[in-house]
Amino acid sequence: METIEQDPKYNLAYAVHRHSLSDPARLAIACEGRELSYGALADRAQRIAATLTGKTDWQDAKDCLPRVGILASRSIDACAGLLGTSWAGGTYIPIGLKSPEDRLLTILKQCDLSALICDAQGARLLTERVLAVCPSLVLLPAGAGPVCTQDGRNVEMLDCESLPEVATPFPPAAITATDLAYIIFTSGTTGPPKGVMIPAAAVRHYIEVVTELLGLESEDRALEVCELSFDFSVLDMFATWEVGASLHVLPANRVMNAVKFARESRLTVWNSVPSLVGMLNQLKALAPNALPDVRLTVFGGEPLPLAIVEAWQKAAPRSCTHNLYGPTEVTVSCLSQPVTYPFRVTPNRNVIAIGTPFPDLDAAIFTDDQHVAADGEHGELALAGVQLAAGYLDAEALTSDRFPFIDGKRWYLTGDLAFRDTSGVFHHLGRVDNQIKVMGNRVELEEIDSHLRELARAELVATVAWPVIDGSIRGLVGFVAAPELQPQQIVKGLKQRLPAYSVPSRILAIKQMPLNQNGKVDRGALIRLLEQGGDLNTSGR
Amino acid sequence: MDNKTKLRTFLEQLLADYGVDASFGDDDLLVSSGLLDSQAVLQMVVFLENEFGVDLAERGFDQNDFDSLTSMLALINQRG
Repeated sequence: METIEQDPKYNLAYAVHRHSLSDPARLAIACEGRELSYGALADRAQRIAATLTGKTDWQDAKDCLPRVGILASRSIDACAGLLGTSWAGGTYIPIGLKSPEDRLLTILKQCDLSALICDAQGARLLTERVLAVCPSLVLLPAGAGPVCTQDGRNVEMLDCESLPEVATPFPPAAITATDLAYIIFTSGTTGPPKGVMIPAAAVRHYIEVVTELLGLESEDRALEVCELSFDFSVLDMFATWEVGASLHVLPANRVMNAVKFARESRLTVWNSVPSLVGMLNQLKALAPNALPDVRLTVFGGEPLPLAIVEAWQKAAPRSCTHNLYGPTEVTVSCLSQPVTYPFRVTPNRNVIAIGTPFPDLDAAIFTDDQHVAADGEHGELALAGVQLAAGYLDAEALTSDRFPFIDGKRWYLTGDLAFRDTSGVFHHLGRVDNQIKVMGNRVELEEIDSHLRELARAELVATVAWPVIDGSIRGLVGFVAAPELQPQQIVKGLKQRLPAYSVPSRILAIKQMPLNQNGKVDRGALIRLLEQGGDLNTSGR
Repeated sequence: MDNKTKLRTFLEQLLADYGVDASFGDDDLLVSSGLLDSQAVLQMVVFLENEFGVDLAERGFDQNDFDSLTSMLALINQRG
């Protein structure tokens, strides 16, 4: 650790390399019955790195580090692939396995990749159209595919289980502070996906701070239930490996058994979005003391409802809990709030506060005219400091719009509505876009959602403004994912809690709530459903 | 209607709601194969509680119990 801090150069793979030398037999990663020690993981990463750097495409990359697409997730192949990329001194770019083919093509064309690394699931997405825009080197798991030639262009397909041994072990390549460690594409509710470029200095600061903040230890056994294309996975992997702990990966199709998995694997660290716990609670998987070994819980990625905290405390009574907040553009998370009694709750929302900024980072609330808001005043949350992304890939106008200089300092405008209370703690209120005006009154959709959630006793709810006629909002519609519903009762309850202009005129039950790639409710899809009118697959009044 | 027919009818409707082919074998894996997701499993849980009085709070949830028609029938037969 000390040597790295003095070294201006960095590599995400440094920690794995360090532990592979000091304690090679220590467990690094386990997935579906396979286990790899630090020594074995470092060996795999080095073989991949040697293969990548041996190609002319790699040596030809100019102006920026060579880039490698990771069409893989929640597997040993995925983790070894991105470690190998980092080890070689490249930028890794996760590509979501659930991406529609057109999105996959857009990303592959935009990124100018030197290589693509797939796991078994990713290999199944290599259609003719995808192969046509693939880089000239593709690494696949054992037996996944033959050599393929087409369009007169050679795509070299290598089996990543049988890459040549490394004759002389070598350390991870040192990259500079401004070199890109990874690029993650955000879900982008409108327009094309945006590639968020994270420099080495940003992720290094993040991992060092978060490891200390959470008090991770080398004996920990941590859960991984995130897709690689969701940047919470950066916390799961690199904070775990930073301290020499082990990562236990649960594949997507087993996620409902997360509690059973965590209990049987004797996990000590639980990392997830709160909605996973909400889902497990609904499935009645959270029996009292179901997780006696969990000592640390890290929630992030979405607001943390008080109800989830209470359900979780019964299931994991020994655990201390942290609520982390942060956009992808500021490297995974940048504010934290310990979830200790008495809970710091955001008024009228029944969610835990997002807390205070990490060391050396700044957070501020800006009013509409980019002045710093007074304590208690609602405005847009902005962040500054070393964890800021370099910007969006090939989108300079958007970058300067979202990362403006204000009074000589570079900020990222989150688009999140928030306020700071008088004790300096920040509270998240929703998206600025979801702050709307109904007949001249300011309405925050997430506030309605929080009441709707309680009254309907459902996890997945969403309120949308509809219809919008001549640019003005004429009504609100509440959606609840529940098999049965009593809309009149809910409207009655809402009227007792909210001003009349904030109460939806219709409450609709929906069998399946539309979710975006990161598992968040897709309000745009709900509005499209209403616009189509007909088959809502709902019942309501 | 016997339990198996009742269960099959329910699952066929569920699969149809998900826009997938509703024909399946008794032992076909419907969840770990990715055909159905957690929201569908939640509907199965509610259905088994309401129709058959299966008490999961007592037994503990296991995704494997909900993966096929056969495993769900076993769950119903073990209740109480």
